[in-house]
Amino acid sequence: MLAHWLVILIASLTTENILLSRYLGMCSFLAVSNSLKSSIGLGMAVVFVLAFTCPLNALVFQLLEFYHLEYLQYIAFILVIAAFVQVVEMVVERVSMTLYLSLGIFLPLITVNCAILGGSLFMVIRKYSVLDSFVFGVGSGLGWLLAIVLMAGIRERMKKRSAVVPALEGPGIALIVAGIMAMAFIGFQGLARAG
Amino acid sequence: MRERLHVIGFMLVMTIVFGGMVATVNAFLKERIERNRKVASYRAILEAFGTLKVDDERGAIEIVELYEKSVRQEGVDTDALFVLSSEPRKQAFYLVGDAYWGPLKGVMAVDLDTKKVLGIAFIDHTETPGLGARIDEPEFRNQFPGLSYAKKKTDGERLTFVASGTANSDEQQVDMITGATETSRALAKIIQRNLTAFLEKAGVE
Amino acid sequence: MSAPMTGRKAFLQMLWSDNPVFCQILGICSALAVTNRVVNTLVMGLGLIFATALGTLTVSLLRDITPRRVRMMTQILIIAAYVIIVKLFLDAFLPDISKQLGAYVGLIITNCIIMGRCEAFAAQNKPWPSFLDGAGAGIGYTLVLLVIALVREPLGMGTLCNVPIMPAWWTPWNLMIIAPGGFFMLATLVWIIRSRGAAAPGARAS
Repeated sequence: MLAHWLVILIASLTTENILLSRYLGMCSFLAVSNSLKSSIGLGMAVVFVLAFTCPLNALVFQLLEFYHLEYLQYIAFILVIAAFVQVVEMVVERVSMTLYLSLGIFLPLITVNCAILGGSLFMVIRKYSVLDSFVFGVGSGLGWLLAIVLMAGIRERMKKRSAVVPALEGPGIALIVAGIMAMAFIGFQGLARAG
Repeated sequence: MRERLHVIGFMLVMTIVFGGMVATVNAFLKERIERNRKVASYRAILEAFGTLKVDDERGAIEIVELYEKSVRQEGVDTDALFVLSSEPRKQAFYLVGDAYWGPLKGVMAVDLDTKKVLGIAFIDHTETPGLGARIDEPEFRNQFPGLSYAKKKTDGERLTFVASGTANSDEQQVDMITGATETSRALAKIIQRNLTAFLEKAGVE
Repeated sequence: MSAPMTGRKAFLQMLWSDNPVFCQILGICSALAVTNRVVNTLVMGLGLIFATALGTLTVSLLRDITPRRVRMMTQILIIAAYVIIVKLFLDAFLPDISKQLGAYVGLIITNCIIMGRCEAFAAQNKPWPSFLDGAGAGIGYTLVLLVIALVREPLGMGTLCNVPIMPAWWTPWNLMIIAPGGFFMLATLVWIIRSRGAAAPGARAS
């Protein structure tokens, strides 16, 4: 069991990196990665949301299966995610104003981050159990965090030292860097198999 | 308070309306979707036997007819055995297991007399399109018909997957897919496991 | 918001000057995932156009009775419903392609383009212009993806719509099929479009 989870964890960080291998969560990735601080904040939020929505949705899916309503999974999952984020937002607002102010804008953004819904959908396709889903959620979130932090680090250095062709400034060069990172991550293949 | 009730009421109505809309579409299309699944299975089994060619354009109804005429099923679910009615020594079995990206389901057919593979076909998998998913392609699958599985290596392996372009069919080797090493390796294991189980059941050593 | 947009103007804007992909840099995820095959891209695009156009239409129709607090959840619900319908149709009539597209059909729901158009336009405008805006965004997106796919499939697999078109001596560029190929192609496209300088659509600070 433990080995199984370790494999899922390592795979989600490297060979199955939800952003660099599965392309999920690109929009906020490109938009936020120009600031290291924001990237860390958003990344942590993604880890948190993925870690809990994946197992939650695994339970929801079992319920759907029981009533032969699997085809409603998209609606169910996205509503669960939206509700979860809403609840987290309310809790954070009440508990710590500082945290709320720094995370504030990110939370609503996360609801429509394809990585979150994607995590749940992959969980269904690979038939993960509730506990598997938790590990998978944490791993995928960490993988996303890893990618965005690496990107932010590179972009901040580029801002100071590199001259970029004007047409490539911003998203253009970010995409190229992402492509190179994706190539590097492919080197991890053979390290672990998922599931 | 009233506002909150109004909001909840609104969401409830919305969910029912749109949920209902989706359920209606599902009701209309459910049978068709189920039939597609069945046909996909039948198709894979027929392709594995070689009764159906890969690019055969026959429609769903014809495939079902052809299947019911030519194949006999013994056993249920993943342990099911498929026997070619006209030549009972030609049998097929499911290939089930975890491939690289997710669960894989396919069919492999063999001729117990000549100890050769008749063919291979896939029903379900979640491998990367353009890479691992190329196991569906004729180029990959055509390596299997006529491939012998008679010899067994010391570790029990019968069919060996080797680097693309280097396979020697006399040595019971299969070319891996370029750029899809992990999928190829996973598939090799799945084939090995299911083939061994099938041969044991068939009473072959 | 600026002066009320006519439907026609909104539609045309979505195709070029405010194109969701290379101007607003939205909807990238699926742009990278499905564009290694032209047929898949086409089907994905059609699905998205359907969901976006009907989604924006519905959001616009309901805009006056939707409570502000649940505006986003309502939009999500509406979009999710249409996407499920797309998936059901695909499973029923194009099962092979549906399997190839896999999770990415469902991910149309979180495609930033649809949510973006609902929030930015449909929530404030009349149904017909909203419908055109949504359809335009979907078409603009599909066209960009097709351009990318028309490069990735031939170079990466030697085929076009599954028909081999490259000469026999051609060695497929594997890079084009996998993740990095998508990134580089999109970057190239953005580069080319934005290099038109003052004539570039959008021409906004990124």
